[in-house]
Amino acid sequence: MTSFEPKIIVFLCNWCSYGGGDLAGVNREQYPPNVLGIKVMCSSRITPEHIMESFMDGADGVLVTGCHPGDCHYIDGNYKTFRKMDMVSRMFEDLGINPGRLRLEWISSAEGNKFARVMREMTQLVRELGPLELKEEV
Amino acid sequence: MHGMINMKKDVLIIGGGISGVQAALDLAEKGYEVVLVDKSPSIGGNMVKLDKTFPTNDCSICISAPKMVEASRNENITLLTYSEVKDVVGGAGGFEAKIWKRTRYVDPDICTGCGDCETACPVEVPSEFEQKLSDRKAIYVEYPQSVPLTYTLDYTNCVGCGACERICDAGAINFLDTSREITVEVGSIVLATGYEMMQPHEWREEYGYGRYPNVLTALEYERLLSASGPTGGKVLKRTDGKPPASVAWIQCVGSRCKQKGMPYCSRVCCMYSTKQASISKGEDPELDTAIYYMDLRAYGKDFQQYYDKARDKGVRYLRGRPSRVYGLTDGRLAVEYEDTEKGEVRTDHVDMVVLSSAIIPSSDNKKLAEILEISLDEYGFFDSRDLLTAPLDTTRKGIYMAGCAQSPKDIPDSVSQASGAAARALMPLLERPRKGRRKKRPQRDVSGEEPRTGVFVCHCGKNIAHYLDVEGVVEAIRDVPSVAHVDHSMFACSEDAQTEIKKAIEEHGLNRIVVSACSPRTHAPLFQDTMEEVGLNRYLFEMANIRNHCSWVHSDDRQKATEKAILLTRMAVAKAKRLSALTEEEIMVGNRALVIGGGPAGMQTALTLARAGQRVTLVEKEAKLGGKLRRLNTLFPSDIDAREFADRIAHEVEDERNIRVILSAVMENIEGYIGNYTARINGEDIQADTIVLATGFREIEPQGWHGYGKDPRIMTQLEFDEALASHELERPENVVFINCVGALEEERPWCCRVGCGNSLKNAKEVKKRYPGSNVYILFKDMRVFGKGEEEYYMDVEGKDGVVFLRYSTGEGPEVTVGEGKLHLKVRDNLLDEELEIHADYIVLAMQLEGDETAPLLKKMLKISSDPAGFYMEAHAKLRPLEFPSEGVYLAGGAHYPKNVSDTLAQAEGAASKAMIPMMLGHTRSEGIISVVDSDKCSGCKMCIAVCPYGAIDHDPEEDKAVITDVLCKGCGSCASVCPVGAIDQKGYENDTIMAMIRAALLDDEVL
Amino acid sequence: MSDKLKIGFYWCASCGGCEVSVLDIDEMILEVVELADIVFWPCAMDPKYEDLRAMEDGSLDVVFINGSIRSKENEEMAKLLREKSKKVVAYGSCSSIGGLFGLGNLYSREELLEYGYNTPSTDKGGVIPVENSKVPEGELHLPPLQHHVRPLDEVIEVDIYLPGCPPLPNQLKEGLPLILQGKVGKYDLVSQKSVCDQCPLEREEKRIPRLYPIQEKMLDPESCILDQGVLCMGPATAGMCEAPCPSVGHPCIGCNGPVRGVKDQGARMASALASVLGAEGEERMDESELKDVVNSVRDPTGSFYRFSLPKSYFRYKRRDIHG
Repeated sequence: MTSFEPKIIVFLCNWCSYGGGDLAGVNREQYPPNVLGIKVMCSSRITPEHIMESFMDGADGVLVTGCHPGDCHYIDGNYKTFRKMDMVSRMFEDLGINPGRLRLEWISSAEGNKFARVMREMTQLVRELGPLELKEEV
Repeated sequence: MHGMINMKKDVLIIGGGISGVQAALDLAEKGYEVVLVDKSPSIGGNMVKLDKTFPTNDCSICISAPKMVEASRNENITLLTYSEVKDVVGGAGGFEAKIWKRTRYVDPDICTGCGDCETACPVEVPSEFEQKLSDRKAIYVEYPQSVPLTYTLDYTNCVGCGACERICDAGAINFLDTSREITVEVGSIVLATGYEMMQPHEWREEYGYGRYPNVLTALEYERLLSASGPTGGKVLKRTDGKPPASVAWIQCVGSRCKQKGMPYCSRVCCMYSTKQASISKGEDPELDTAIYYMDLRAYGKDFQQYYDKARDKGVRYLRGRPSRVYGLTDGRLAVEYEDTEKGEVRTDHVDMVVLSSAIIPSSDNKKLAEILEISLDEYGFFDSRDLLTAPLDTTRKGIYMAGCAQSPKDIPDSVSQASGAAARALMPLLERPRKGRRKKRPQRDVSGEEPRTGVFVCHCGKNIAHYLDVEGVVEAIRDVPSVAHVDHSMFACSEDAQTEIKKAIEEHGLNRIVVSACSPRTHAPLFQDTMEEVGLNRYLFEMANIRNHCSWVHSDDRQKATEKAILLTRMAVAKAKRLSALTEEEIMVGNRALVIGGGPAGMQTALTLARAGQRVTLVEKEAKLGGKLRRLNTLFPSDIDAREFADRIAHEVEDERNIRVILSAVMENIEGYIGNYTARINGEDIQADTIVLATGFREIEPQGWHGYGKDPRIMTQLEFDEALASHELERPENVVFINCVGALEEERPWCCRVGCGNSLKNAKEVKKRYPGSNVYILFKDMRVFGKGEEEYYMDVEGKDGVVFLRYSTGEGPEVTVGEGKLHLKVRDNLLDEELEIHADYIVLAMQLEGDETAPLLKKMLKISSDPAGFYMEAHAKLRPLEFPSEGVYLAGGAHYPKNVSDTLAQAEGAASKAMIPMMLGHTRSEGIISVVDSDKCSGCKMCIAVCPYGAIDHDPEEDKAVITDVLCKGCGSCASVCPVGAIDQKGYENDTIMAMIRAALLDDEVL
Repeated sequence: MSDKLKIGFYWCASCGGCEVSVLDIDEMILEVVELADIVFWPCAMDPKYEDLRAMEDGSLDVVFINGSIRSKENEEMAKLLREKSKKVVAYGSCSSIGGLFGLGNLYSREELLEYGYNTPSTDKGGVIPVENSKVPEGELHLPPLQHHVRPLDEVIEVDIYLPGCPPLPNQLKEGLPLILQGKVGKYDLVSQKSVCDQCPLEREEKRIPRLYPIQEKMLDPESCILDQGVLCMGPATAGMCEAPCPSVGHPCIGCNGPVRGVKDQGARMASALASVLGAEGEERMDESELKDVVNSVRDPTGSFYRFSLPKSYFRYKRRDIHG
């Protein structure tokens, strides 16, 4: 039996976490290729609909990343991201989606090692959760 | 390349740390051409070595890297790294400098920064950047974010094996290259040579640095904390590689010590130690952290709150200067000290000791001072023409300075000075023509065309091609409907490849470009410039990062890496299909500035603006210019007469024909934005292009404190200053100054920054005027930190014999008012004694807060203030003089209380900031901005509150949101907040993001 | 035969309110009757399945179906009506977006039956109905309940959406003639603006520190309810209803569902509200304080999806948490 290989969408902010990903590369920090990054200017651009679309299209996990609190290139976007993600997580529980499939991480552009670690952890966690079954029975 | 190179530029900046970079940007953005010289292979200086910055815990490299990249991309800035100034002749307006540019043996135009050479190099040497805590190779970049990202071959350590040359696919390494001399003609010079840290074993060998491996300098500890440092962000003992259970920080190692170091205060150590301790404590709550200090100088904006938080977290603060550190047989360290609060000598055992060694002048200062014929102060910092009134001028006209070249200081004070120095440096250049922004090239209109995307996949030598199947990616993309052309090349960023891209655009009628290569953060501008050369809008571009985010990090699974590279490219193609040409709108900015507040900050701002040719309206709510200077007697620490100084500068203002002064001004309304403000003042409409806020601070209401109001002999500091100035005092026997009244307490936790100094200079004045009188200063921590201030304090304590008593919050002095003298009782927590003083005068150094106009002004200008009523700058560390929305700037006490020297430096800086759009004549909006679909907008006003830039207004007539393009910075948070989807972000439209998601997971339709 | 249009009304899983709303147009019903003959209306007449089956395919011009799809019967009837009618209008929020019953999708069918027939608050020890049961009078067949509530367009193609709980007289007076005359497109009757557009209350710039339950607030009847810290779904809800609820001091509960072009009403409201709540002074809050602000929104899922859960991204509760 081949082990389940999850698909994970990672939203990256242009200023911090994308740079963290770049640095992980420079340092050749290895992580599983299950993650696919989508760059936005600020994590606050991400809406719950982007997250839900990802899941409905077959993602097994979604990771939203941004600058550390106080570091936001746009002053305070990441605080909004934090509240949004907290709200969505609560709704996910009601909707029966394991909140572990959705994760928020602050990764600065100097944290190449953290970037790689988070990607490894997230992949492992979602691998353990198994595929998100969305088949319906009427 | 031999021989001489000549350049004609406007300003030479020496030192590429944060101060030098900021000064360069301030000048370059106005259209002046700058040469920035740094002796290191990369710019960045000391700031990039720090892990985080206090008091915001901003990641240091993260906030400085964008500035550095900005400097390297600015066409008006020429970076000369790995270079040194050898000689300077001439004078203000016409200097000629000779600069020795050392060879790196690596051609910066060819080097891609891939790092293959580093891997191949067999030689390991201690890394200077990592404080020798780890090794680098003989061919190296100092740190991953180096600017320029060009490798340097360290000739001294190179063994000449040639491994690097053989492995470099790009052919960037040239062993035959030579150093050369460059001659630069400039009009002015800015010195930003920064600082060095005193090596503790030279002066303070009793702390065991160099003897015990677990005694570190603060900068070494900083590298251990850094996620990109030698231990990946883990603090580990050097003896056994295990984390410590306890760490001690020793302050003033070589500072505040005439005999064994420098008499001055290094100004930043208390706070960075607090930062290091609280970060370490945050990582490991079990860690015991103790800071041994003399006075905890948490003097800046939000510093005290940061210190309070650290204490609450469990960081222990012990007041006492350790006498020595010695090793124990179990490998631990013993710190011997006198706890001055408890009056006992103690020895603590810890695992690690961090020394806050003194900030000392750059060792280059001496040589530079000789070359430039300017003078140094007794310690080796550059001397100011006048410390108080011209802090940024050296002793020679046309040469200015900023940051730690002048004296130790923190980052915001350094960048404020850097902007200020930029304003000074342009004064000798006013007659020179300035370079405008690059003209826009004519562009092809592609709006009616079907998307025809060209995809270029890069091998990056072996960096991509070795780990994934580049041709496989090419084939997988070839048949995508929106893709009209696919190609691959060895180095997509090479000159040849650019030619190929341009040719392909023309031959295949491409109207979108995708490059699958490395990071857009470093390489997008290069490809975008190429596109523009053939008339394609630079926003019709997308990059897939198949190197940093793929080949380099999945190097052990070729198939999976290839599959991911295909997906990443597909996603970029899906995005490209939806891209449209974006424009950066320009709006005109004229030369009319409105300066609000006629104190020293406002007056200096107005003068600087006016002297540079701007037209200024200076408004002051009082009937006379001068602000707080009118209420002070003398100024700390130079004892000059405050009113004389106010008169002098007010006369300069009145004589300046570019300044119109409005006194007794009432600000009725302000509306508009940059280039277009209308302010209603005293019933008159004043037009302005920019606004500088210099509204100062005020004492809090003193009612009730220490008997204030019950007896006229109990006065606030400002009232006492007034009494001194008007000679109204009766000869006193005993005078008591109480510091921190209403400060450092729960309700108003902040430190007023200037109170200690003010008490000192008034105490000195009392002693001078009334010999034989007894003067007491009751303090919590003596916070004098600026240039010359510690020395002043030592004199007042020693020569003048003022008595200092330290009291604690909650044990404030009790004052009884009755017949005869004022009766004061206080517990001195150093002597642990209750003392009684019969005073003739009691002076309260009141807590300070923002001006009473702040609530109104912040509403009018859509800016915010902190709980103390001081305006919130755009960024605490790097943008202290600006607001999030362009067009409004900040100087002086309106930002936070500060002494006159710091205020004037800031005022020059604020003027410099305001002059960027004014001298340029316009400001340009971002290309990526948000737009409102007015058919959908229902006027719910949700978006207005989330915009950090105040760029969204509500049009009451249409009941719709309106975005002012020029204020929008393109974060997209409004697009995410709009509940009806009426707002979208250009370049990151909802549909575009959705298409990328689908391209990653699903169907081909989106392609 | 007259050349008048032949129209029908049908209710699937419905409360009956939509049926009544047809009469809310008062004397305008006469205009409708001018244009059309109502040939099928189980609520008012008493037809049999067979009568409908006997009709020729496409013999109805327009059928208005209200109610959501909850049972097998609902689905079968919807499919049958689709065959018989040239146009199908999803009438009301239940058939357009799932409606209030859609919240049942937060539970399994079994949980709902258990709750309905066997809890102290309802009918402790009651009998859960089964599909086939024998009673003295003979054998009873009940249409089986399906696993979750679905909007009409999940079982048949819908030509026109007309949300509302129920659609209001003003919407009907404008909309019905247009529908009958064939002058509206699929989504034309779904507003692309929100309730706020027509709301008469005075709005501020949404600087809301936190939310409060409505009973804890004395609301100023002139000011925006959300501005006063009480949840109002108006900003994320399709308008054209003339904001009847906020106008009389009651917050909008979102009955019209998302505005035209928005897929997920709940996700939009979550995004908007979480962004603005507590934004003032956020830089001085730690994570627990930020969470506390979000926590002031009671039951976000139930509140944001009160009417539109079956038409949202997730549509019903998944079994991912314990599965």
